[in-house]
Amino acid sequence: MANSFAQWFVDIVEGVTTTSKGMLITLKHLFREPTTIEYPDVNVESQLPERYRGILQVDMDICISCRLCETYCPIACIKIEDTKGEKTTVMSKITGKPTPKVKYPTLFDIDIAKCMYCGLCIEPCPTGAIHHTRRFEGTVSNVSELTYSYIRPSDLVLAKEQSEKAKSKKLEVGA
Amino acid sequence: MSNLQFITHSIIERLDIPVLKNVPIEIFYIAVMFLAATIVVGLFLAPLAGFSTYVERRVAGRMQARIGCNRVGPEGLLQFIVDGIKLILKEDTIPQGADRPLFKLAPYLVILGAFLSFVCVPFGKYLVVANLNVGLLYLIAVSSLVVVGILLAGWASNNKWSLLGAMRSAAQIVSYEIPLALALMVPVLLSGSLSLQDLNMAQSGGMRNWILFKAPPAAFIAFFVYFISALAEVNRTPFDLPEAESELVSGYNTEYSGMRWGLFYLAEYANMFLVGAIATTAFLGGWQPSKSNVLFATGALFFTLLLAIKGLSFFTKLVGEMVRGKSIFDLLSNIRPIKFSKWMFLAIAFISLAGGALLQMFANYWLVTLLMFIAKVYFFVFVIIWIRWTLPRYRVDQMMDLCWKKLVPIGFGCVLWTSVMMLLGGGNG
Amino acid sequence: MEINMGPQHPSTHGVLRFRTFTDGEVIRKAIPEVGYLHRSIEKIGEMVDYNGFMPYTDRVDYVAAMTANHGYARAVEMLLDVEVPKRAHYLRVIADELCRIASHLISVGTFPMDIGAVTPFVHALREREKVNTLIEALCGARLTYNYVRIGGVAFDMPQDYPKQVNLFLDSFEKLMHEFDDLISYNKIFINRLSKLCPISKEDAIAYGLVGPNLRASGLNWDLRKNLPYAVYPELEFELPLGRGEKGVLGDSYDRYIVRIREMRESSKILKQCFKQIPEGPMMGKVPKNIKPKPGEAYAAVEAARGELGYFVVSDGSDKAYRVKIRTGSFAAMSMIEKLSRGLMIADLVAVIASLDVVAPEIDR
Repeated sequence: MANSFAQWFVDIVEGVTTTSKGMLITLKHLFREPTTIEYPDVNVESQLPERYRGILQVDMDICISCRLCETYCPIACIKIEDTKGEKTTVMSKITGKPTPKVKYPTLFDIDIAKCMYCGLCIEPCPTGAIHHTRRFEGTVSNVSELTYSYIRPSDLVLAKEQSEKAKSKKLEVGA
Repeated sequence: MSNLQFITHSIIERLDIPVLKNVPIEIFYIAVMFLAATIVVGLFLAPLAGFSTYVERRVAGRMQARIGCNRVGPEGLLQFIVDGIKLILKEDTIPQGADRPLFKLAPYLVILGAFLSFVCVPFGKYLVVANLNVGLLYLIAVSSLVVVGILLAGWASNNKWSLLGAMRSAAQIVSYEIPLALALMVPVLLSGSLSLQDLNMAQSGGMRNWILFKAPPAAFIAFFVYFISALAEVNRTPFDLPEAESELVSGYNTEYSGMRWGLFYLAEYANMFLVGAIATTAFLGGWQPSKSNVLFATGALFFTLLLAIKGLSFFTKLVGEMVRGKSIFDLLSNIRPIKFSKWMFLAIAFISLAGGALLQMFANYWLVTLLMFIAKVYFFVFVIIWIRWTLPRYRVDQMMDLCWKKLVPIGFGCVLWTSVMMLLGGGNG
Repeated sequence: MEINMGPQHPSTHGVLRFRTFTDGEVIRKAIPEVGYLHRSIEKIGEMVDYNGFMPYTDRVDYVAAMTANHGYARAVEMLLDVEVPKRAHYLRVIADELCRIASHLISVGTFPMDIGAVTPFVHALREREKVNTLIEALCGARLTYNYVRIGGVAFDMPQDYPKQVNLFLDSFEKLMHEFDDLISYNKIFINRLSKLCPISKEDAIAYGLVGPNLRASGLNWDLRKNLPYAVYPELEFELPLGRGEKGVLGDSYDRYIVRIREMRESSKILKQCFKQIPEGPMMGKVPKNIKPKPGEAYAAVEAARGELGYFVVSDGSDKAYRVKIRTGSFAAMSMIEKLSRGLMIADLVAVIASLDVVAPEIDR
């Protein structure tokens, strides 16, 4: 009996002390600076690290259309079509040496709604054309706008020129 | 002639429309009563409770190391008005198998409990609507209407989770009325009357006359017993099992939407205010001015000036941008109020101290007593919010254990001690 | 009466469904139903090549994704018989322990939220944001990392990484003391959790529990000590075991306090790793197209929720024949029906939170 009476007192005292300790911590936090980053008012992109895997960007000038990114993508969100043309060279960003370019892309679509930003397409690229940017805001009003097409009109013109040059060369040689 | 008849007759005479003279007078009585009720609820209760919601969100945010609600209006002050408008415009859904008359009645009963209690609470020296001589008894009786409202809400929702929440709530509120009443017996014994205005008058003459410090330690312990029981009465954490968010998805008010839910929400914050009001009246001196007048007044003035200057700078910027042709919707979310420097803070502190000393000279003026009362009550509202964001929730059986095995014996002990001290002392305290 | 604690509920951890048969507040039976988050990850393993499956393993347990990556890499490395360089092992351990801290922070944060206190949740998540930022500096993503590769790791750590992490760990330990004062020793919290559903040692082994759930029942079993892998034999740390200090051995409070103590041990491990890490290459010698010989391999790591095991069967082509994933939460879910008899509804929520089940691990 005495035990449970003492327990009754101990319960009350423990309750009061632990509650007041907790309340003291909350009160301390009330007077500290908040850690909120007020997002749209603050530029967050500049605070992201260099290796941040944001939305993909393709540098069409140095893409040699080797299709390695298309093969290694685990979710098949890259679609490439190309034509064969005359051999030129582009400077690779990775090795710094000139790389031969035989095929000229005419269609380079990445569906960034499907893309899982895993970075598996960046590793095999021999020239460093495809890379991650630090952009992460991709909101659009229509899902079809999320299929980014990286081909510019100048690329289409270049591909057409090169394929005609190659065909004429082939006719010369073949004939 | 009663007040109601006087008001009605004077309005009819002023209006002087001939067709109205043929309508029976009772209809006018009812119309004037409804108008008065709307004015009280709309202009008094709703802003009071709404402001408490804003305070809760900001204080909760700062306690969790984040900013809190600060987008709508300067520092988020317009948030509760915007919330109220949104709730009124929302669709009113009633679940399919629900009991429609009871479903619609329940929020009104809950807010009636809060509404009727404000009638006898004295806000200042002459500021009490009805100085009932059984004030405390009336208060405890009227706050039981909330139980009926919650039970109706839980049953009529046709939802097993709501029913569970309502059952828990009924058990909780009914049980905790007993330590509440016992704890309130102590001030009644010490002041000799049930009327709230008399309780105030018995504590005149400075802080040493507060009932909290009489008959030590009975009144002190009774204050804490009252505070805990009142927290349980208004369903606030750590006793918010009826609306336990993580278990019952909001308990008895799960199926309510729009302004019906808004009434439950307002009733909760009005009840919080009421808890603070009764705590100050019964234990902490009510509206009585005291030497601590200067401290309270300084604090209140300080914060009011801070807010006023921020608001003023906001409005100056707003007007400036509007003159340049920007839309008001862009402005309301884009303008950031000014930041304060050390000198600004010191200046505001100095002005508040001067203002506090000035108020001390007019200590007995009715406006000063009103400000004292509101400052003390908001301190209690702050403590209630503080407790909510620190403590976890009790389980049903542990809550009952707390009530019957701990608070009721302590309450009885306090009453006994007070009576013995009064007998030995031969009078009060 | 039958109450449905449906897939949409504020406190079942993820989409889980419980059909509870109750008598008022007391539960007679609570039958869990799973499958609401099934994404057929194991089937995808048969359709994607070995390297390409790595991002999918992130999604097996997105709360602590590094350990899932690590387990899969170990299984395929067993099949290929590849030697992983020491530095890569150290980086894997660093990433693992950071993820363990992040995952325990979520568990320890959502537990008080289910009990009613919301503030510890916000504090725990604020700390987790700092861990996320650290991992972002390491591998570029905050939730689904895809950092471990078969044969090593993908990136080297940045130059000032040890300094950043040590700064974080110092402030983290101080904040954990505050967290303890706020909620771990709170009387109401202890009253809710002590003596709630004690799991005996025999029951824990019979139902296949792993990880902190097992250690809270007093059993001294951890893959990092008993079947060590990577560089764990060279690191010194202790295993916090449940002691039944505020109730019975193996009750919910033990499961909670074991996680809090494990976070402290993880920060010890991290500090040792940064002192001992050697220089070296990031990847071992692995062919570009991975085509292992036909065979099968099982490899497990000690994830935050226990043993996360991968059983990979290969038939010689560049895609796996079968990938089977064994998670700790699935076994814990199976135990809930037995534990729930005689509890109140408020307690059911507490028990689910104490077993730290996450829906993606259960349903894969």
